[in-house]
Amino acid sequence: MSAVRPELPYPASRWDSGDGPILQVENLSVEFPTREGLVHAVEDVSFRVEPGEVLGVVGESGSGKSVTALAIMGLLPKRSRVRGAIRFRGRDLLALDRTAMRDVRGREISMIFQDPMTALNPVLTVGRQLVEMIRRHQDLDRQEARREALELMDLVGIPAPQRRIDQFPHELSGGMCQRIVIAIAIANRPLLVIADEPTTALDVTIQAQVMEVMTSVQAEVGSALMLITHDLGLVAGTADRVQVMYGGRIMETAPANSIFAEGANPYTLGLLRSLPRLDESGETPLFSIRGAPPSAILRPEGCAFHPRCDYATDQCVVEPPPMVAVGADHLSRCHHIDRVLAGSAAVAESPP
Amino acid sequence: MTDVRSDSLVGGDGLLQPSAVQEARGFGRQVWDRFVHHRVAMAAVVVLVLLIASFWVAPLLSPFEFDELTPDLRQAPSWAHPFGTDEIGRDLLVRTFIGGGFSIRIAVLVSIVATLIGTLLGALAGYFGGWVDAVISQVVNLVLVIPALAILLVLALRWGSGPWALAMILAALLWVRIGRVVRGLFISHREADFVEAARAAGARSSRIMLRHILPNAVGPIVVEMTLLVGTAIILESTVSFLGLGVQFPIPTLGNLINEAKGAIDTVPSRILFPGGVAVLITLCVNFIGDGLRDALDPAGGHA
Repeated sequence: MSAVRPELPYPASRWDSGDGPILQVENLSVEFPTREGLVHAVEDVSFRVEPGEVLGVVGESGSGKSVTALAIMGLLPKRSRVRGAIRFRGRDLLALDRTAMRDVRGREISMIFQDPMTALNPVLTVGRQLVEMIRRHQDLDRQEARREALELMDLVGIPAPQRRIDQFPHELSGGMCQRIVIAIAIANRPLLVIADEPTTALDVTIQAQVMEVMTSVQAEVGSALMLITHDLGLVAGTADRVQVMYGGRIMETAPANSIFAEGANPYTLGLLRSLPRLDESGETPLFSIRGAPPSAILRPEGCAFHPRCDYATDQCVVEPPPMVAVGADHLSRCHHIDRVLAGSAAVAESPP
Repeated sequence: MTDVRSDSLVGGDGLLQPSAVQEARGFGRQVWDRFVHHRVAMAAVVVLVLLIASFWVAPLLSPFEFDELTPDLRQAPSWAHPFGTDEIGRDLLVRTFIGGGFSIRIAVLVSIVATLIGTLLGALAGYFGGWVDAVISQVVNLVLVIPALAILLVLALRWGSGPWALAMILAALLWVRIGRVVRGLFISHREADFVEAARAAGARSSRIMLRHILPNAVGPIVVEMTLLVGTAIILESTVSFLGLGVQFPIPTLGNLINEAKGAIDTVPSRILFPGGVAVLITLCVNFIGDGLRDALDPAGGHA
């Protein structure tokens, strides 16, 4: 256990986030005007992140999970239209000017990208990239920042940091590069780390290691982690709460165990059933949700999932379902929760 | 926590890949290695260095000054005057070497100034896009479509009689080549993940352009800059040949050729010396540019 340095680069008051959540997203909608029409990437999304927790955000491509992340970081393209509020420790990030937002990025909220080989600058040594992040937000000289960088590299489990620090990204393996990316993300002890598919580009054998590094470092630094992925299995082991997104909306949100034990949304059940299972013979075809995710321009009326849903009725075609409380801290967006819950018992027999 | 680190030491991370350990050297070093193994480019470097050294040394050894009038008028090459003399008896050997020196200094200055302007404007256009790009690209297109040489001649008439003024005029026309290249490079890099990551780290635009994108664009810029030296030598010669460049008594390769055309019937060899030097410099510079292009290509084969 390498000790977290007690002195923080900013006043301790910053950590008094009160009792409330550090991040509160309220009715966030993001639209992109395109030649083909208006793309509704995110529609009326509300959620919160508690201090230090791991929130898993799960969904297929185009479900709006990455756009939500970029909206929080303030990195959406200029042409996008954003409505709603993103309150980070009470301040609405959408209302911040560019300079103030730049100070938030990397210091209070940082991001881990999907592909470490492209997220690191190929012509700068990893040490320089770490030092740059440190010195951007902390008042340290070159020497101190370098020492800090070495400690961070040690923290994320890079052997022989002294030798690695002056190497270029192409001289490190993918897993090592992702560790560097993680080190950069936590360099300033941010309150929130957003990881967008952090293991998708990695070899399966390394995924577990990187996840372990990420969650243990996150716990040690005390950051909250917003883990964006399409892999429910990844979320199962790490997340405290899970939020399932589809077609730009949140379909279900619940503590991680509830989602796997009593998923209350047909889409969640579909995702759960799609996980390959070791206890099934190779003869059984893999389950997949029929149909394809909807286009973000022509969303189905009513419930966005109804064309692919086994539970769909006429009501689903015309009327968008509301968020309904299912249990403690468990919400689902469906007209037929009762029928779904009955069905989910079957899936829950053997959680992944 | 402890297990994370000990795990990774033995883990299947491929962290002890032999190739990674062996290639623990910088990109710059690899580029250098590839460049010195590029035979044509290295030969060009040697020739160019000798040529430039001779521009400096030959006048010191010569018994004549470049503007000294000797009694030997309009002579063909001889032992006393290996390159011959001109109409008013000036020694052409010392004039050719002094002229070559002026020409190459002008060309290098043109290349540096054009690269600075082109890189700055190209970077702004490529990175910001939108109206910034529209304005800069229109200026670039304007410079490209107008008969640049004609404009150059008019400008040269007014301001272009000194070598440095001529250099500025040439740079004002040639920066568009660099500008277009740099704009393209910045457009292709501005959406790169590492740029997005730098933004997510709170870096400002100027820092992203300077620290993150520019180092990725240095290769093509250096190549283009080298090739510009060749272009500038030719253009300077053209302008001076037409009598509108650097004026009496300063020799450049261009006005030496211009003066030689009067003697084309009597001493045709006279035109070969400054012409040959101009061709030699241009060839060398282009070969070096090719070598750099190959060396800087990350895919890296030897030529």
